[in-house]
Amino acid sequence: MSSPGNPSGYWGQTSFPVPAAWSLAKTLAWSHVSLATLTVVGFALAMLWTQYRATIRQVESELFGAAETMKQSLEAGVSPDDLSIPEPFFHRFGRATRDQAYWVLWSQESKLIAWGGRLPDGTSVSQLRPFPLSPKPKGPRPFQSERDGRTIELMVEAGNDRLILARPMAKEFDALGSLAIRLLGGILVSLSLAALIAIWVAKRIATPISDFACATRALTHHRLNERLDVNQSTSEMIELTIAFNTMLENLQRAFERQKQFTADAAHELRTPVSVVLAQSEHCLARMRSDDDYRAGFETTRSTAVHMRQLVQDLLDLARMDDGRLPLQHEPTDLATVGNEAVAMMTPVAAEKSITIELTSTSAMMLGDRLRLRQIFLNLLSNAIQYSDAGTRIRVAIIGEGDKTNMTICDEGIGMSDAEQALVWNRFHRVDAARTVSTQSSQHEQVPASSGAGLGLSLVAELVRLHEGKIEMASTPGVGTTFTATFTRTAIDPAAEPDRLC
Amino acid sequence: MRILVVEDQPDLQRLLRACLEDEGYAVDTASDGNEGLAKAVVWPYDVIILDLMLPKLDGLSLLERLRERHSTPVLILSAKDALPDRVRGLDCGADDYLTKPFERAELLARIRAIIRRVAGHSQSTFKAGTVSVDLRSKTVSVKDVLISLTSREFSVLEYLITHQGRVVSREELIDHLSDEHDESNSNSLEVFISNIRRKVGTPLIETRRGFGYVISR
Repeated sequence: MSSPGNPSGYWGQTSFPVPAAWSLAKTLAWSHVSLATLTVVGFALAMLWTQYRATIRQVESELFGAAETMKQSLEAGVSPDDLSIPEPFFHRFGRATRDQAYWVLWSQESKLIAWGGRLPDGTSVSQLRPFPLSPKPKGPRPFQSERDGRTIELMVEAGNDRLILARPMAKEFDALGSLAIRLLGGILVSLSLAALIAIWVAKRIATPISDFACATRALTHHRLNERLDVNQSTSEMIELTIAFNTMLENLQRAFERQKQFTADAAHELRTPVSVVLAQSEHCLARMRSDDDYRAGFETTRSTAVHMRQLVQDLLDLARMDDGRLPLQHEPTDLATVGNEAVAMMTPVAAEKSITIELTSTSAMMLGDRLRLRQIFLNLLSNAIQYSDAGTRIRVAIIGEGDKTNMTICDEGIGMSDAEQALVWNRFHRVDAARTVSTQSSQHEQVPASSGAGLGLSLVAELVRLHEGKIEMASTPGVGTTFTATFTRTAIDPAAEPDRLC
Repeated sequence: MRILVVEDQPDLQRLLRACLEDEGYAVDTASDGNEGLAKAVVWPYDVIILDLMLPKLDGLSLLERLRERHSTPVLILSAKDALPDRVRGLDCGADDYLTKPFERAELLARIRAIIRRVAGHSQSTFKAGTVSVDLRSKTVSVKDVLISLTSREFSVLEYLITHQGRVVSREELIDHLSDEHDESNSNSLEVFISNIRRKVGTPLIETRRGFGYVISR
């Protein structure tokens, strides 16, 4: 049986105690063998018992036949002294000495009248006694019988006398003995076969599982691209392998997303770090004028502000992924929030001669004011970034029934279908955006996205957290419209207590 | 020596220009791939510093298209630091690959190394007779005595000595010593040359009438 000897050695270094247990193969083999043993031995015992009962009945019926014949002889007037076991029965009982029967005739008062045949060795006729009388048996067995060791004694009433006919069942017990030996042989042969089959079956069941465990142990996060072989011997193992492979695939995808996120985040930080490094090295390389130093510090400061926003965005996204972003749930008028955001972005837009038009009706909803404002700021800064000078951006906030709609519509460069498909991806930037620098220095207080392609991802996540829906429609050269819809009672504070600050 | 910086981040572009100009290089800049390619094929740059993620035309495509005709040395300066990116960049025809954030000293050393390699020289000191020119410390000495040259004068000498033995035309010298915004008149070249001759004292730069200037081996 393939059993890993020492469980802890089998597992190598583990951080948890491994309980000692039987291997599956051993358990299966033993259970198969014990079931087979129970079945075969039970069957053999039943057979032996049935055969034994049948033999007794046979012997009794023969003795009864003989006794009846002798009784008839007595009734026909034969003297008890001339009585003998009839010839056909004598032959049927067996001519061998040890098979031969004897008979005893007692009077009603238990007085020995006559006897004949061959008494068992070491027994004298004086030791024999008639059975105590019991109510006369009826039915198919109209006699009384007793068994003493191998000897069976049968008593019938002949008039007022009682006739006992008895014989040792030597040849019958021989037959039973040889039957028992043959059954034992059969049991041993079939149990050996059963054990072999049990081991084979157990291995067939258990080996794929231990192979599976082996393959699983070999997998690390560096080898998530590997898959287990689905060609397994049982459908359950195939199912398990497929489930495991699916899990691996999901894990791999999550891992790669995480890796990509980290790589992208690091990558986004490289450029501002390069600027700070280059700027400070430039200032330190030799003596500069005061203006040079001032300009240097200004660049360093605005780059640091940009990095701060980037780090904040990354942190927000990471928290949202974990479901740990603290969100306030307070009654908020989306129109007020929109007004604030538009007021903050108007100077930024004015620099590019872009006007922002706002239409709003009161639109109460439950939500986080700052986060809702972030949605507006990100969408607005996006719209400004992709719009040409002299265009308009229209913002509409409308509360209708239990729905609140916000629309931000620009007359910017728009996006092709291919671009639209990518726009929600993290770190995705519309190519043309790369020429646009970070927010100009006088608007650094505007906490809009860092321009690293995280703005729309953040917007999408924030809308999702407010249980709203955001859609986008865009035509290249015409403009882009973002529409977000919130339900008035979207967030029930009691339902999400863990998200509360 | 004239260098083209193709970088879309305005601060970084400005700083690269400042850093290189401090070192006496003539610097042109481009903010997107198309502009970069257009300048790279028109002007005879000594080194091109190329960012990879550029608007309009990405750095690798720019490099591939540049390499169809031109062998201008290219140093890739990118935030992409993964091994496959570096390998692809070098295989596309880049001469060197430096990742952001970079150290000023390293960038300058790599540029000097590229210039040296193009000149077929393995040391940063070039010698012609009793004159030795150290590209690293930007110093010139005659018979082990340091002489002082202005930055422009040094640039002229640097270009001529890295092309030692070859006649360099006036136009070539002017192309390699001034950036696109430089409007100094071509007569100033003669002034630089005569200043160098005066300061060095020994006959170093020969004039080949109708062809240009040469420092003989």
